[in-house]
Amino acid sequence: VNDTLIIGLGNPLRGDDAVGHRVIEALGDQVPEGTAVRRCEGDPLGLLHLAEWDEADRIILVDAVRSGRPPGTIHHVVLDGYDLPARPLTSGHGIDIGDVVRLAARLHRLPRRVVLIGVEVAELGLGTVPAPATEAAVQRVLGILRAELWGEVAGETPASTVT
Amino acid sequence: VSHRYDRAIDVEGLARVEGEGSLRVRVRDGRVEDVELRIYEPPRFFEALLVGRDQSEPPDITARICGICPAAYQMSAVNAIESACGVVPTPEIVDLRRLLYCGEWIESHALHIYFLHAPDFLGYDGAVEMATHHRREVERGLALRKAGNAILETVGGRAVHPINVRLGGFYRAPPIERVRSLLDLVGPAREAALETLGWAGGFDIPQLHTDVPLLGLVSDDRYPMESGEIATSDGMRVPVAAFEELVAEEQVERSTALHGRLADGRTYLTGPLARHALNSSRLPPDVVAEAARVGLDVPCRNPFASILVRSLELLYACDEAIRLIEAYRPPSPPSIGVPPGSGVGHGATEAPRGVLYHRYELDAGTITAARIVPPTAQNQRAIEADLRRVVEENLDLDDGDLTWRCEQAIRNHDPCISCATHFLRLEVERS
Repeated sequence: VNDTLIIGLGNPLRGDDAVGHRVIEALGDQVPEGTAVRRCEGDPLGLLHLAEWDEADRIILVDAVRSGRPPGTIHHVVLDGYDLPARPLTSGHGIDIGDVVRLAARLHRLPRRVVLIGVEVAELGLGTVPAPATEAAVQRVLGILRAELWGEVAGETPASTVT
Repeated sequence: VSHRYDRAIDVEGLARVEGEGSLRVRVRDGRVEDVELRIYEPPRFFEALLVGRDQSEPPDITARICGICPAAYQMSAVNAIESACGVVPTPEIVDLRRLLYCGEWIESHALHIYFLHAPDFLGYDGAVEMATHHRREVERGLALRKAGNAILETVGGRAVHPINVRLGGFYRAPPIERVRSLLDLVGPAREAALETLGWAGGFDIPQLHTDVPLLGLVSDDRYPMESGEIATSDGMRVPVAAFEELVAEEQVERSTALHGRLADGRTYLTGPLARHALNSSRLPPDVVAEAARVGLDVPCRNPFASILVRSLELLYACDEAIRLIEAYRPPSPPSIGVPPGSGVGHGATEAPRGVLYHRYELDAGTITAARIVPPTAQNQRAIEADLRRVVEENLDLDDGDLTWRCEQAIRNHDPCISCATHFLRLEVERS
């Protein structure tokens, strides 16, 4: 049984939206035992069908974010499913990952800790190559991810940091 | 606010529909002057990009038109190309295609009933808000969707944009034990579908009567999914190849999706209401008995009751899936050869939202022309006709309630704007 679930989200054919997948690729198998790694290309609601979602004590979401900050800016946010506005994230579909987290909270299906590591993106046009600023953020995301995975972070990190 | 003779309501961006569009209604002197469903999602030019491609490619390319009904695109594509090539798939392959289609109906209907439509009847902004007080029901919707997705994954290789479909059949026949194990999810899903019908049967369903002709597929021995002939509630029945003689499409300024109409100019409707009206006699007696128990009329011409028809079809799709899973023997070979074709092929299937028609013109296996007519494009005029009636019959409602009712009337048809433009903002003007 896995206690941690890492999910890389985004459409890998839409430029910078691939950043979640790039992070998962770069992470490879460098994860502690008991860690499940999944990718989600376009059906976030389907994540609630995964056994790993309910098994996990901790879920880490890696996704593209647009809040108007410079491309490559990293948001490290602890989510509780009730502080999210109705449409916080970039998604081409009606039920996006933000709604999935909000829904899961109301279904009492959020684990102890849900973390979003969001990367500010710029280009979401057709293409498989992210912009340099996005690509450069991948290594910094890995650092945050490793601290989440290996470090003593629960209860210690602020609810939200922007780096 | 009530009983104003001139009113204007604008809604920018309809929620809980797939894609982008808007609605604008103008009421003057207590009369509805104008109802326009505007679809502004950019056109996607799929037909043009198919030209010059190999005949083997449309099942994978057209599946990308929609993330909710990709199997429907695949099935209409293979039907059309196989017919151009003179190939008839084996009954085992047809059965496996029908099982794939059952998975898509279950997944799509569960999504629409629970996540897009039910919140309208229960007074919630969406499924997230509904979940606080209807946790058990939302979990039931998720379990149904999971069962549908599992069928798609097992037969199609993955839930969204399946990759196991090819001309002539499938790349691989799924192993018998994997298909049988689907019963662990689909068996309980059948019970969940029955509960869904009872739940939706308890909703306060607004009254509305649509009198437009209904168009759907019919087949002699089964409720249509993966094949059939084109039929209308006027009593017309023609082969799929005559679809374009029956249906015309026209360009209108307000929509990047072509508007479908009958060749004689009349507005028509395709989708669950049409399918059920034309095929209710082909449903098994126990399913018919469940329909009677919730008071579903035959034919049902109230678009607001489409949630009951979808719930009934959900039940039927679970029954069919169970039947097909229990009878499953892997087709061997999993596909039959389809030689390069020359000529014209037509294909139509019953996508969750209605008839999905494809035509391909082939020259030695290369596509020289393609035409795709999705259900939402066909239904735009019928949706506008519904909206006109809804506004006319509910002018006593205040702006907020009338807008809500209009949006609900649109969601009755589960429009997929992405398919149609493959479309929504609501703008009601009562000046």
